[in-house]
Amino acid sequence: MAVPLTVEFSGGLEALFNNERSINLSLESRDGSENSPTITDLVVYLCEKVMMDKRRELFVIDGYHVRPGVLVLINDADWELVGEENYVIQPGDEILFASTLHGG
Amino acid sequence: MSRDDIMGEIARLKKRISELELELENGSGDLDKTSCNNSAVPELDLDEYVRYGRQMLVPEVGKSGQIAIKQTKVLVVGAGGLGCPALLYLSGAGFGTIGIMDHDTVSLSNLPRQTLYSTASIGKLKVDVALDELRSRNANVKYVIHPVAAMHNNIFEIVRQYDIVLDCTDTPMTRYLLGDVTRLLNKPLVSASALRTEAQLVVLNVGADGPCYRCVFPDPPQYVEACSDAGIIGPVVAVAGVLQALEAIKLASGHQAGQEPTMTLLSAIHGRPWRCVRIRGRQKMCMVCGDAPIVSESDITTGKYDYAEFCGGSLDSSQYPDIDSSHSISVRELHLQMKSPHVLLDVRDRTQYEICSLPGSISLPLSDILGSSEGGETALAGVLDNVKSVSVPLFVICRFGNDSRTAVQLLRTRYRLANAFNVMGGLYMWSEHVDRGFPMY
Ligand SMILES: [Zn+2]
Repeated sequence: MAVPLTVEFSGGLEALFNNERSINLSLESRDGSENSPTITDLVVYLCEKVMMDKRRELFVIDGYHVRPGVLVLINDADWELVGEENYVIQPGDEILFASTLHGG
Repeated sequence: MSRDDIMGEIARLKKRISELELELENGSGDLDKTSCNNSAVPELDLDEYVRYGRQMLVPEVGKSGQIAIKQTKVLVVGAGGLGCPALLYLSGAGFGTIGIMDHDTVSLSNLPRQTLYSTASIGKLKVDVALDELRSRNANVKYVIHPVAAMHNNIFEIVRQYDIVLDCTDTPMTRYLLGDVTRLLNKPLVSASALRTEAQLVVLNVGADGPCYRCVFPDPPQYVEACSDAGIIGPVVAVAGVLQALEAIKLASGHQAGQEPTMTLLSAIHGRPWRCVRIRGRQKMCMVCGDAPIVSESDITTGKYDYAEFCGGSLDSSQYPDIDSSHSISVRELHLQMKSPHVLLDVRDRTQYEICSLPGSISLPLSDILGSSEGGETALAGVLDNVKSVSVPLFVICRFGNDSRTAVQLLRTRYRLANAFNVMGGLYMWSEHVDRGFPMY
């Protein structure tokens, strides 16, 4: 089942996605089943279909794990609070990938 | 002390003497008050009622909050874009003691956003200028300066002297060090950061379940951009610094405890301007404050726990490849070679290329060469065809001569271009040694 959602990038990550800061998409589970997609499904989709930049290591490490230094916020909550990579995406979810900042 | 400082101090003392004489006349001196009050609670001076009156009128602060603020010692680590506005408002709010920690001197590029400094401050120690500026604004505060960098062997003894710490620094290594030390000493940490058009703020080490820096960021970032490279808009970082001062006021006057942990994100230009997001609490697995902590105070002070190693060597220039000296030229040589046929490739990003560039140079950002499978390679192919067909040298230049090394190595290995040369020291050296009229930024 395709689930509509909004994905946003900030903190410099947008540079990897053609400087798009917000994209709307409709996502299916990558095993083609009727299950709703998870965050991992989304990350794979972003890497395979959306990211134009070849430097995948700036977004993910060890396959499709979001690299340290990137905050993942699901509907304004740290993804750690809702199941991290296994969170099942709900229709209308707003998912933000934000690079942590260090300047001062 | 400057003449103005001395005059100000004399005026303050004269006023204080007259206040005390008045109290003596009325037979109600401080001695009488302290005998019935808790002697540890400082009273407010008469001029402080005036000075802090507007803040005390707010019920959330009141007189008790003002006295609590006066009893609080706050340390600001980093007196830069975050630290300057934070310090101004901490001083204004009447904190009892304010520590200012920074080892750096003022430079011209600091002035637009580091608002405690003026043109006359350039070259002076930031802490010295900040001390004078803050004292001239509010001499009721006790200021302590620490003209040192935060290091594993000095930070515990300094943080111990304070109640609240503001992290206004700019490198991950210092941020982790400060995060761990404040957690181990159980001091609230107000941490902020900013870059380009965005800022982030988080209050740590508060409450039984409040997270520490490491709880929120267990792994060090692998890619870090600095304000000196990626840029910063002054008010963006200033807003974050002012918010840090606000959080310190809230902590000192008892308005933080018990709140669920949140992070505030400011995006000044794109998307939603403000977000306040819920973040994780204290983590059972945390190396510092988890159920089985691994890092202790002595691990840090002795250097047994190595922050440079933890944050990885990726944060210094060693991430750039070494280029053989025969594949490098100086800016003076470039100047001579520019009289003969050649191609000059500028690999800075387009924003920087627009700021200034050498005549005849071709713009092709390194990120396009490294990252893009389309535009970059097409553009690069055009350059390469040109260079190969007429067999002229290809000189690669950037701002400081680092990115150009990465580009030259790539051109020589992946594209087998034997006549690609790195311009050592980049446009910075060009402006130093060839054309002093060439702008540096
Ligand atoms: Zn922790």
